[in-house]
Amino acid sequence: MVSGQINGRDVRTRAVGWNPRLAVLLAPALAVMLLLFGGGLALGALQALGHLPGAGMAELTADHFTRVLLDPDFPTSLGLTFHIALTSTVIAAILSVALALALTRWAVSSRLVHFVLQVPLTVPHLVVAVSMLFLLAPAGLIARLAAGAGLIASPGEFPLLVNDRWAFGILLVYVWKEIPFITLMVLSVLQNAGGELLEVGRTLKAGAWQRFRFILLPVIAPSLAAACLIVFAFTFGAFEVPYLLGRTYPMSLPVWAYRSYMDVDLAARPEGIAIGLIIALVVMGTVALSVWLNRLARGRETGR
Amino acid sequence: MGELRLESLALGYGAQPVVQDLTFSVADGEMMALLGPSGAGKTTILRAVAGFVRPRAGRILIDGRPVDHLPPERRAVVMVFQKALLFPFLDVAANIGFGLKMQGLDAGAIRRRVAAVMELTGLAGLGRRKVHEISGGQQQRAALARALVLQPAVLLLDEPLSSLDANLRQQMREFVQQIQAETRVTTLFVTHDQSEALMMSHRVSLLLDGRLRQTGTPRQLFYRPADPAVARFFGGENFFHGRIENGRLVTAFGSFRAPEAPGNGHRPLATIRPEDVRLDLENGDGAVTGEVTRTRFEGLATRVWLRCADTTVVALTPESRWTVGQRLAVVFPPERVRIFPEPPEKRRESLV
Repeated sequence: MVSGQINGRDVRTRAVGWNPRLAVLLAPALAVMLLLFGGGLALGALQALGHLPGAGMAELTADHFTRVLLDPDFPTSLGLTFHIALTSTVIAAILSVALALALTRWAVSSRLVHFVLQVPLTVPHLVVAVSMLFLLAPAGLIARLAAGAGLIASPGEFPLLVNDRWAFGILLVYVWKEIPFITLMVLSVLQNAGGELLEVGRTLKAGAWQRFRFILLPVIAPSLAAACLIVFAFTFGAFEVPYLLGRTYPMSLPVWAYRSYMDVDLAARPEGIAIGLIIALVVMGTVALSVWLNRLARGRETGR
Repeated sequence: MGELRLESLALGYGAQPVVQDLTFSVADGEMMALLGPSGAGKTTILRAVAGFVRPRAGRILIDGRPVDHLPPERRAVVMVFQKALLFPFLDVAANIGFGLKMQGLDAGAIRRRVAAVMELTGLAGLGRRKVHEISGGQQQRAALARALVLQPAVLLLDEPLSSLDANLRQQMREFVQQIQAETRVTTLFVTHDQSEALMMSHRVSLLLDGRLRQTGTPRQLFYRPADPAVARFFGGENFFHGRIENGRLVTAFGSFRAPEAPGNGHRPLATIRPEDVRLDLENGDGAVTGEVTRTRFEGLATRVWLRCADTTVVALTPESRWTVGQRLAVVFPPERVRIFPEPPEKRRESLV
């Protein structure tokens, strides 16, 4: 039994214990989760540990993980993957917060805003990546238009924005795709509570920057952090955009995993799956770290 | 502390006027209630004083200085909203000290002032609690403490008790009154609840249809309403036309003494509050006869509807012995009858 007070009245709630009816009701959803996700993960882990009877490998070994982790290309690939995921998430987050604030301030009709923001959400990443390729490649539309307008002598002079060192094209796709998602998450919080609390801030003599720093950021932080984590986890593990718009070397981890998995040599498959599991572990570690940092920040804010 | 003065203020949203030609002042250390039904424009006035709504015309002055051009954060005014609106990501003490932190006070000074105001508002010991860990009443106290700690010249309260249940509301009324008396902060508070306005404030301003109908002490508004609309707002139900003859009001159902009566020939509108109407079994001096048509038990009193000639009179009496069909003497104590003189234009018409 848990007791507390709501509006000065004593309230008691019973803690949910073992309830067979509840277990039966939850069983279908849990079965799907455990079989499809857990089962897939277990099978993947088995293959990553070298259990691939079809290829004549039956012995369990950690060699595939070791080989990947000790590969001289691994740190570079890991760094590139972090660069892509982190940079695109941070840029998308900053632009999304600015956009959400502007939309709230100008009180733009919410139906129109939601429609405009939902358009990029419906376009698959692959389609955006191909469009970027047509637009930004040295022989792409923008290069030709720039040459036609006399801005550059020939399309070949156009700066390299796809398959480039800094993964500019990849970042552009992710930023364009993720801004609407983060903006909608932040906007819903701002529209629900942000306006009233900002007025409280004004009456309590907080200036514009103080209102942003001490009211808006803490208000949107949980939603923003959740949205950023989702975006980070997705971009860290997605392979199709870096596969199309990235350099052939170094590869991002998902591209490396895909190539290894699809290799004609079946012996490379366990390595591919091992990379996939490493990606999953890194994402989980990032989520755990951000949750811990969030708690730390909240503790500081409230003086605990 | 400060004096608040509104001069010929006009407010509106888009093409829609909300308040027109509003003039009143709240004296230094005074608690004034801005009373009116929902949609009368009370909150808009408060928001204009706080700086959230720009007046279309007129001026807002604090201690004689116009503040219309100042944004909310630069006015010596703090507003407490209908909902407590505490910052959910801060604990109670940090909420109360928020304004001081924004003013750049050092941590020690903030701690001292927050502790003092928490003591004053009965929140001592709750500083480290999260906002959702305190009750609704405590949340409203924290919102009040957060405003008071800034020592504003004028405190604005926008129906801060309306979200509380009846018992808590009663406690909070006394609490707010006591805090205002102790701090002597000039306070303008908005309410649609007439009993709240009457019991909490030094003076009341009644706003009806975007116009200020009467400003005065609670007793003045209750017993000496300026016009029939004010009387109706405060529960007036008995209105009857009559003719003045030799200091008596002659109505369709009888005549009685009217000390306030204007000269002979006037046709004023008179009113008497239901609780001032006396019922009796015996027909004595100054009484008219009425037949009980309906009764309703209301706890502390019984409401009785009587037909006096063609007029319905409502009485609110502590006795519950009256029954439908009974014929009673209905007494209108002369000192309780309020007479509204005929408007000049009507008077001219009746003379013609």
